[in-house]
Amino acid sequence: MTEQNRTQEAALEALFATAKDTAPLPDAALLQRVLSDAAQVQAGFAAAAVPEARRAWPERPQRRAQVRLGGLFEMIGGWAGLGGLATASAFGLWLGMTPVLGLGETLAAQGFGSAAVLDGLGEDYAYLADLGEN
Amino acid sequence: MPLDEQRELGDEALLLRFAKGDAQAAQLLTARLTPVVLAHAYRLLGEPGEAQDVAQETMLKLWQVAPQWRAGEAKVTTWLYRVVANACLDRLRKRRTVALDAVAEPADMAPSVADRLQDSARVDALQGALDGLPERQRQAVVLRHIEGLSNPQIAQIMDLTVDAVESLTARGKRGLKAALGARKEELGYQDD
Repeated sequence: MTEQNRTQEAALEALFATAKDTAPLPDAALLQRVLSDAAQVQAGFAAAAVPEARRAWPERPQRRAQVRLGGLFEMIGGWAGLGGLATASAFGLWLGMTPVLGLGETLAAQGFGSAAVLDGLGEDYAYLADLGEN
Repeated sequence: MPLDEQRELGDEALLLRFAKGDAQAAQLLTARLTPVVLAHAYRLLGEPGEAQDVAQETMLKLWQVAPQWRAGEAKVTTWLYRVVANACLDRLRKRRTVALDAVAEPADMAPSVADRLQDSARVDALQGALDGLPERQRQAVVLRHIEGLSNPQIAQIMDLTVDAVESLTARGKRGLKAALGARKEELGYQDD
């Protein structure tokens, strides 16, 4: 390196050092704007915190199944929905069984009897049937 | 956590605390990093007003990225230098006052520099010379010689090899010497 180069290098290094020491500093207004942005963004995190936590669950396979069940649970409306579903199921079961029992009683009360009673009439049944046709 | 203990935390730890809703972490990061971001933006743009805008935009991006920040992957300052540089390069390209691959011409420094042989005048002269460099050379020189980063760090920020960084800084310094050489007496530097 020539003497001139060394001088230039030293002068440049001195300039860099001066530049380091005289870096522009942020004023209070800029700092305030930055802090205001930070507060606004942070408020958004709080609002998104619950869904984020739920999304974070399926890291492990076991958790993933729980999340799917959780989704089903939410889909039917949580505990209130589950209560309603249980009541509706019980009512449906009762409704399904009640007509079978009730219909027999109703038919008996109206004198229709059972097929066994009609069969028991034998030849009289044929006679009665003929009377009906005539 | 008490404020004094928080001050001891690194940038990344504070950023993770910020993501969890810690308002004090925001204050500490703002005080610690806004000066870094502003100074770098100013070195690249040479315009205080625009540098302030870039500093605010960059810090906003930092707040927004906080919840997705992957601990241990990169230094917060490295990420910030990269974001600042991208924002500044966008603005410089919009200005179109300096061609992307222009040969480093001696900067046309203001005549008033000749009348002031103070530190601020020297810094202004340096800034004028930096403004005359092609953008990538300027970025490399600023990161290496003013921000004081290592070549591997700069390579990561600029997405280059270390050799390419060395080449850029060497060419940048040659450009600065050429720009400032003619004015060394005005700036108070004499040949020995």
